[in-house]
Amino acid sequence: MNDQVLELDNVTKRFGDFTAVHGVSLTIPRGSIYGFLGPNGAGKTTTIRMIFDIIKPTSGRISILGASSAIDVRRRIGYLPEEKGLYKAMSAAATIAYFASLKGLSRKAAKQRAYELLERYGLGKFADTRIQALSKGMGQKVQVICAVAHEPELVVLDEPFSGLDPVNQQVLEGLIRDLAQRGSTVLFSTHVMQHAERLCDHMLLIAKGRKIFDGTIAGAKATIPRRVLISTESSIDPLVGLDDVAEIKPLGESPSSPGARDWEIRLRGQTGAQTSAQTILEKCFQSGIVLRRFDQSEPSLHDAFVALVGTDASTREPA
Amino acid sequence: MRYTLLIALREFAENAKTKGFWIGIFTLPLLLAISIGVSTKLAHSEPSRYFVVVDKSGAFAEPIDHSIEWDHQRSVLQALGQYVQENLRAGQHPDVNLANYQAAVDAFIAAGGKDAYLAKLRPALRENAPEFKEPTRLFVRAELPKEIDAGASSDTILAGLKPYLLGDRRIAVDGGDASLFAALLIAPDGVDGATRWTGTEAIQYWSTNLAVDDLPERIRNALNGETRRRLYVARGVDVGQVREIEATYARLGTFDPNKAAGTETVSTADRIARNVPVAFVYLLWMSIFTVMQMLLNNTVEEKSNRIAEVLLSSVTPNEIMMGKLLGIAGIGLTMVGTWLATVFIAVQLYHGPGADVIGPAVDSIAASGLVPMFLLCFLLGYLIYAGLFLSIGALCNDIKEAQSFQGPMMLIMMVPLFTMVFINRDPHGTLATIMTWIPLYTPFTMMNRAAADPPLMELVGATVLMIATALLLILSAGRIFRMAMLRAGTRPKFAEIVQWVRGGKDA
Repeated sequence: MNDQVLELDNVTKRFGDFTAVHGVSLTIPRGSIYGFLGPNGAGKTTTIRMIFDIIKPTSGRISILGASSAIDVRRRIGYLPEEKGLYKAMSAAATIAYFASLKGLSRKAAKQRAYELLERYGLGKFADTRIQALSKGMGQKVQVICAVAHEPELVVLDEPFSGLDPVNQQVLEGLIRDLAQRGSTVLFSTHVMQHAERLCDHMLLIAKGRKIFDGTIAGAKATIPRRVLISTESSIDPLVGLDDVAEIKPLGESPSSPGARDWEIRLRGQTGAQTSAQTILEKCFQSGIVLRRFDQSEPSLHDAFVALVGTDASTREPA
Repeated sequence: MRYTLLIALREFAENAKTKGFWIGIFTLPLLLAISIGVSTKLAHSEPSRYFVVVDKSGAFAEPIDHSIEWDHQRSVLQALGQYVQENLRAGQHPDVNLANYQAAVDAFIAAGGKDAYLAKLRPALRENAPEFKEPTRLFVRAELPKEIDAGASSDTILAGLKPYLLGDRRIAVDGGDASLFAALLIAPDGVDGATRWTGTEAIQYWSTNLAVDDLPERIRNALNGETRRRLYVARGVDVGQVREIEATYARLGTFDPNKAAGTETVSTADRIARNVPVAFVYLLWMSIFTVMQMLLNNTVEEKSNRIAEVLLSSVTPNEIMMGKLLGIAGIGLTMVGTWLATVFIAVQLYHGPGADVIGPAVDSIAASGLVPMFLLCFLLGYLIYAGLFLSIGALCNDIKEAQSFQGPMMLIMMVPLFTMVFINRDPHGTLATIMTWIPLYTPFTMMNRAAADPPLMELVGATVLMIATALLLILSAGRIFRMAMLRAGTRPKFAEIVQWVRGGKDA
């Protein structure tokens, strides 16, 4: 069995003069939870639609579960689109059963599976409720269940967290982990880094249709320089010229400590190396620099995202 | 195919499941039955209307009374005919003339009216036949109100009658009172004034209700009859002979050369069958119009709710479209089937007046090619309009946008309704021929002309045209559907749509 469930090779999509996706390549290993990250309008949804053969790439090659079109392997893939919608007048169970039967399950098996899954994810009571009577969160859960009811090998979730409250976001995170544990490969797109940070093994970052980063979460974080943030009223001249210090950037008046100024000290060397920060701290003590704040925390994926994509594109949402 | 069927099944089930669908289906025959029932009931329970006559000429009062009475006797004879039809013992024939032309009515009156006829008819009737009920007199002449002096001037009489005519006062009629429906004022020179302008109207009919023209019509008949009678007498013509001659009734047999030799006579059943296409056109129109609304709503729902995208990850656009077409066609056939079945069952159960004519008519419709023709027109008409409505549905972002397209579509679809009666009356005329070759109207026009045996060339040509149009529109709809279903926000430009349709070019 091939170990790559999905492979994109130099895929480009143009709409008239506009290039939505520009030479994107990626491979997704079987069994992984793969984050597909990028700011709004980066080309995530277009890429996903090409993966599903809903629209055709202008150039490049896509291989999904060994097939060249998702339609050929539709029974083995599941999809939750970014814009969520269901037939309002149908019941939750009928909806799930319908979409599962379109994925090849027999009508009887599909119906049985629908009730089973609704029960498993806490919606058993609402199985025969019409979609229009469900809350938004419940509706979204139903739609996620629709995407996975046929136990696909590959599940693609486009912005699955958008519009969900924190509690439901957590439920959904649990569901994604559950899918991975049952052996499915999960590809999900998001522009909220916290979810990716908690869930993903691998990630692909695209912006303006181009691939910016492809690798592990740690690898993404490693792309941004190590740094120490300090606040002090004293002069920082003694720190200038230290071997470990690559650059010192003034950040202006400290908002938290009146009278103090904030500085960003960029360090040389590997991420995670404690020695450099230690040296800086020691030097401060020796030189009598009075510190109001000394912050050497690891950069978050959000920081990496901002650094890679540029500040304009950053989006911060509560996790 | 399996997926197409799954989609069709869902479309069918989701629509057929709603109460509204079944209410809609049964409303039509129900309304039809109610309106027929109510109008029959109303016809039987129409109240008598009272009028007064002030005849200063002394010439017309009696002829008017006679004319009103004669009309009443005719309606009695007509009711008697119906009564006999309902209650005749099997194998028996009435030995009196129950037709309602003049001589027959005269004979009826001369023989002594209903009592005399009923006595003759009794042996031919079923034993448990109900009593014959004489229809109410539609118009009854009332006495002039007591306080009005018949000898006063016309203006004074009119002034006295106005409160009655306007409904402020009621006139006395045997033991009760009633509103005055009309008043007829005839001046002393009425005989002369009936045929010659004398500076004012010598004979005046006054009524607030000028919509009911039966009464003035009967009065006019009486006036004409009496005026002519006087002229005959003046010129020495024998009035009795004139009456006799006037009572003759020429026979005119009607034949249809299309029918088999020996059976060319055109019967009432034939006449009904000839008009049935209009009913079929109406049925066709109703069914296509109704299912198009469903198709449009469902398509817009799938687009605006973004269901299309989930569907498209599982099935091809063609499978979705074909599924929808099939499912909604099933809905349309269910509707039409229910209507037809209701009519056929109702006719089987019906034993009222005219049943002996309606039964054979329905049989001849069932045996004729009209029903298969209807199915063919329904199917092709459905596909033609479905192609249009699917495209509109796929192009619109929400139901509001769709409604703005619906207006013009409705107008276009109304044309067959406006023209159906004319086409039925002249099934080979210019209008019929032109409408036959306009693809949007071909199904309705062909249905309408079906009973009149249109030329084979036109029949074949129109069928080919319908098939070609349906194919073209469905194919275009398929391309538009594929391109437009995922597109949100701005509607594509017309040129863009044309490009999709022509090239099937991908997004």
